Amino acid sequence: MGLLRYTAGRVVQAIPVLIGITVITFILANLAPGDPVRLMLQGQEVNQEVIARIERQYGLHRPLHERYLTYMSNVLQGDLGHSIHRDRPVTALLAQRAGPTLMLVLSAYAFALATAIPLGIIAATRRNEPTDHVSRIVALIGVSTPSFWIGIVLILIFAIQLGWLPSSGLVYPWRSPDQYGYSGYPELAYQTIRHLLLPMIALGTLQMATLMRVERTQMIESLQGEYVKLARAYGVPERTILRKHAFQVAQLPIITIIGLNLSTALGGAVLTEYVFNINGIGRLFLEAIQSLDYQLIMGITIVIGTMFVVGVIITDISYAYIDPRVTYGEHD
Amino acid sequence: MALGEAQMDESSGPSEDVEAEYGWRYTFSKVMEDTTARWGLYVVALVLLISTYTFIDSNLSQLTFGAISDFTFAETLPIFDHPERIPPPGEGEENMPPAFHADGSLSNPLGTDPSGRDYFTRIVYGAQVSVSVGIVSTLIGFVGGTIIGAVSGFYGGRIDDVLMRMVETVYAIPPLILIIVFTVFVSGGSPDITYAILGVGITFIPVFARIIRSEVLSVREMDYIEAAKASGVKNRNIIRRHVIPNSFAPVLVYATLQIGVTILIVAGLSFLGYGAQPPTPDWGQMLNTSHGYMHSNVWLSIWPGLAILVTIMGFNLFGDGLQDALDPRIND
Repeated sequence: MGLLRYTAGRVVQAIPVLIGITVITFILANLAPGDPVRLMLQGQEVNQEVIARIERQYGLHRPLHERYLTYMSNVLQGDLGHSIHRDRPVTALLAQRAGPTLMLVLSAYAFALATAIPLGIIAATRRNEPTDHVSRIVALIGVSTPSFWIGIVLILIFAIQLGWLPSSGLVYPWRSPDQYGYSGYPELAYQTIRHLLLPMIALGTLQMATLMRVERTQMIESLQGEYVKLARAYGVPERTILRKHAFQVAQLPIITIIGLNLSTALGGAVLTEYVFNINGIGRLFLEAIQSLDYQLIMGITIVIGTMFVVGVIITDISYAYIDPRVTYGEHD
Repeated sequence: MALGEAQMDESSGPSEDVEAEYGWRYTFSKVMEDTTARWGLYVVALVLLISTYTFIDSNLSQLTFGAISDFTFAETLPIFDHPERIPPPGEGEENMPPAFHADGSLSNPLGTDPSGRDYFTRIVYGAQVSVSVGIVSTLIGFVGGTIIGAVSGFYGGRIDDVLMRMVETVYAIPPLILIIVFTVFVSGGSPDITYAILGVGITFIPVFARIIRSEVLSVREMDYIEAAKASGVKNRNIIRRHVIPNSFAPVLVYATLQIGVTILIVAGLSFLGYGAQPPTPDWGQMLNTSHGYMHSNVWLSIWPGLAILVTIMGFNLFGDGLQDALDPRIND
């Protein structure tokens, strides 16, 4: 019961934030010097009539708050507007591009978790030994390197010098193998992984580094806990202590970090998609910015902001669900 | 600035003065004891030195009101060239590999770029953009965040709720995306490094506001605040003289680490073409140019990335050391 109420509370709390996101994007897109139409038609010779016609078509002649309310009522009905440049609904464009981005971000997280947790635990159990120093250096380089540069270096090494992996594009496992001219599903799976490997590492390295740092500190702290001392005193084998006692407690902050890092991951996806020529939301965003397609830009920003808010709510709730010490009533 | 005044007021009493000085000196010696933090500080100092020098040099014509135009100190040193001037055809060789390569020469230690400019000069001159952007925008975020966070934490209640919802909203949009939208729309479609600085600064206000607020929440309960209130000091002055100075240390650590993050983001921004514009030498923008020459000249993509990596690592190591010195709880 408490958990349900907590969930409902978190969702209610998120509403002002979601409204805020739409307000910010709306204001940025509409209060800019030079109205959207002129920005859009930049460099082109157009007469006043054409501008007036476009303005009427998109309702741009009405006052700002009225336009915002219309836009919001459309958003609530699932209509994010219409891309002027591409002459297609924004939602359709987003749906088309969401798959690659989700695939990229999720695989990057999988990579980060699969490497960061074991490395963090090893570093914590062999504290101040060479293994620990090496893992700390790796983490330091991970947080200090731009993700796009990691991508560039990976392409230089594995695609250009060695020629082992492709340097651009993704293969989507949800399409049929015939579309790519592959022999069957095993080859499709193989090619999917081959194409995904480099962008996944490029995007996942920063996440790996941050998670590894947290995992290490948490494990060190957890291993110093009274319950670990007690277990040791009882002669519980060190392995069991690690697995059963220290590990579980140390994982809680990791969940929070995953949720909060979603923001950097989504931002990083823009750069990774650019470097690897992946047709995801990030590239769509850059294309929209390039053509100043303001309805599309607003749509993407709102969707990405919402993705982050939902992600944080999910991590908050799972946190409360896993950790019995969290009291549901409090906020923040 | 309010912050500076507050510190001066605070250290007016003789006993407090000694204590404050002892505190800073102690922190500094702690940082110097830590080998990695010391090296971080050396890197930061070196990069700051280089960027100050190149900043003065490249703005010489402005500083002398045009009396010395199109001249750089650097040209008088045999290892440097003019960072922006493209050599006339036939004079400079394009896309030369670095000196250690069989085809390289010592006159261009890191080779030349696709326009025939000396790459070493451009890397050195690239420091000023990254560093000044990192510091100035962190400062904007720092000052803005301190004011919002202090007011929010001190008054609590309704003001706190509203401000924190605003903060959460900006927090929810990935920084890179928000900054690109801001830069492009506010500049009216012609992005520039000035807008990038402003955009990055404003985007980071919420991050600082959150940290300051949580510090203020604990400081607020202190006895001296109670005493100040009882003796009729105005709220505004309590915030300025007591709350902000006493919540300062953790934010300072955070600001140091944030400079690294800012440089990382601005590099991405310039890489995508929304930061520094050519011919200004900037590491991110250089990576953008070299992206098209990945097959013909590998080194063009290596040097700017390494420069970014080393600089950010310097700030991170120094920031970590500062954190260990100021907060022994996290020290392991």
